[in-house]
Amino acid sequence: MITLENIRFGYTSRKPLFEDLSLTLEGGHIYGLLGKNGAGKTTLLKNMAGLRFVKSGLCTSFGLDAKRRLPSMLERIYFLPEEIWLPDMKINTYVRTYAPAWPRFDHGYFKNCLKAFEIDPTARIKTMSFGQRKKTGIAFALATKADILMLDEPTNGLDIPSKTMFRKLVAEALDEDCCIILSTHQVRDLETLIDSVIVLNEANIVFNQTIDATCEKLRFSLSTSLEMPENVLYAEMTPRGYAVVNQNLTGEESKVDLETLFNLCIQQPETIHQLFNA
Amino acid sequence: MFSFKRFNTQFCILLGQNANRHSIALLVMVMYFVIIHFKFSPSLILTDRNPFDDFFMILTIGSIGFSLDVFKQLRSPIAGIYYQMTPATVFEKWLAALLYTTLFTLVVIFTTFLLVHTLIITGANLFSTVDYAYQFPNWALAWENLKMVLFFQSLFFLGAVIFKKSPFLKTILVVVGSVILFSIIMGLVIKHQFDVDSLSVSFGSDKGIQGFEVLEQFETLIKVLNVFSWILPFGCWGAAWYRLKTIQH
Repeated sequence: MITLENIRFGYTSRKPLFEDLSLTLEGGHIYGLLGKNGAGKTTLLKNMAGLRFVKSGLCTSFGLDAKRRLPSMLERIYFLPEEIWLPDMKINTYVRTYAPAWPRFDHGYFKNCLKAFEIDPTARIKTMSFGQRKKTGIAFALATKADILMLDEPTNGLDIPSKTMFRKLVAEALDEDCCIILSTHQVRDLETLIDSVIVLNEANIVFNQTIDATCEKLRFSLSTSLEMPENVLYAEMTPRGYAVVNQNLTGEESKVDLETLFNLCIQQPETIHQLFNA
Repeated sequence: MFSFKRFNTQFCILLGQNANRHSIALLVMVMYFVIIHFKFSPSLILTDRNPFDDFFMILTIGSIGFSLDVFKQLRSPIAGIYYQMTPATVFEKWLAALLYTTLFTLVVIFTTFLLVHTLIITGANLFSTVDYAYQFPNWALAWENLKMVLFFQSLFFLGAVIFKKSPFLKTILVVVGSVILFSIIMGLVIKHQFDVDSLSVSFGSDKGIQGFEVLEQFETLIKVLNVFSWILPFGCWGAAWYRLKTIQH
């Protein structure tokens, strides 16, 4: 669905944000795009959406050059920024005005999403809180029935029940033809939702694996011992003990701890590369 | 490929987005238009002057204001993302904005003014012994005036796409700066021309023919400026389209 081939991008010519970056995203997956502050998560999404033009390399969505921003591409992509913009009107008017731009927009589904998020469809947007506007934005994004959904920090500003509802709605929205990309710092919020992890660090992708493939190669555990465990790939102290990552040599399944995995990828990119590309 | 459906959606989006703000602007224009119908002498009576004399001036202000507004969303770093990601070609978005700020603005303002004028005159004729005549804009000068409206509209239409902050002030600064620069250059050219002229006179050339040549050059300049005033709106609209195509968020 999305192909990035050896792309190069930077806001200044001196310091490129991405150097020779390649990535392919397929339908039927919920990708978690992780990276430190300023690593370029939002920019990468913008490159994919054609909002920022790559300096060199190829960036296509559905085989179409992203920077051309053709309607045939835009009808199938929805990019939801971290900060929501909604015009000063009632939700009903907003949907009536904007929804016709997306040919597959599902009004019934939008209403259901609003109901699930406990948002009054007759409410005036200006009077809504940040969280309510965010939920309206998410509901609209899901109702466009876009094949590619790019959600930048979608859980920021949502309360706990809304985060649960968000996970439920996104999980329901996924099908074989749909690709959902979640760029986030709040890994705990989306841990159960993500099925593929992409880690962005120092101008390139340092990790791009499905959760299943990660489980096959790595074993995540919690050591209650007060001493630093030995022979581990990575260990970090938590209030409950050491969060440990070992190489999975026994084939034993464990629950992937995204935060620990992310830290391992950032601190030992070589180890990760050797382990997954051997 | 141009799609009328997508264009229509874009136009409706502009209409919906700006409905409140532009209705208020229209109301202010109408209030001004109503006021200029009357004079105090010392009681309130209808004025003799044609209220439509100011129509094109009001239309210019309206089209400038609306031009700055139609790209307000684009200029915001967040709202701009939504604008860019709305499924439509750049041409469809550009055409919707252009028609909104030109033809649509003209039709709406003119129709509203005409209705208000008709109401005022009809009302005055009902309650007065004087038979007031219905008036219209000066059609003989309409085309020239319309050209002036489009000239200014196109400048601010481009300014609204180029300048992210304070597009109105920045466009004015650019226009004033360009006029000053052009005036200085023209002043220097004219001065040089007169210098050459007086120099040739001192050599005993035919003064009458020399003077005639200078006059001819002025006429050519006026023609060039006239052509320029025709080309400029198209140039500005084209540049705005290109900017829309290449703008990044």
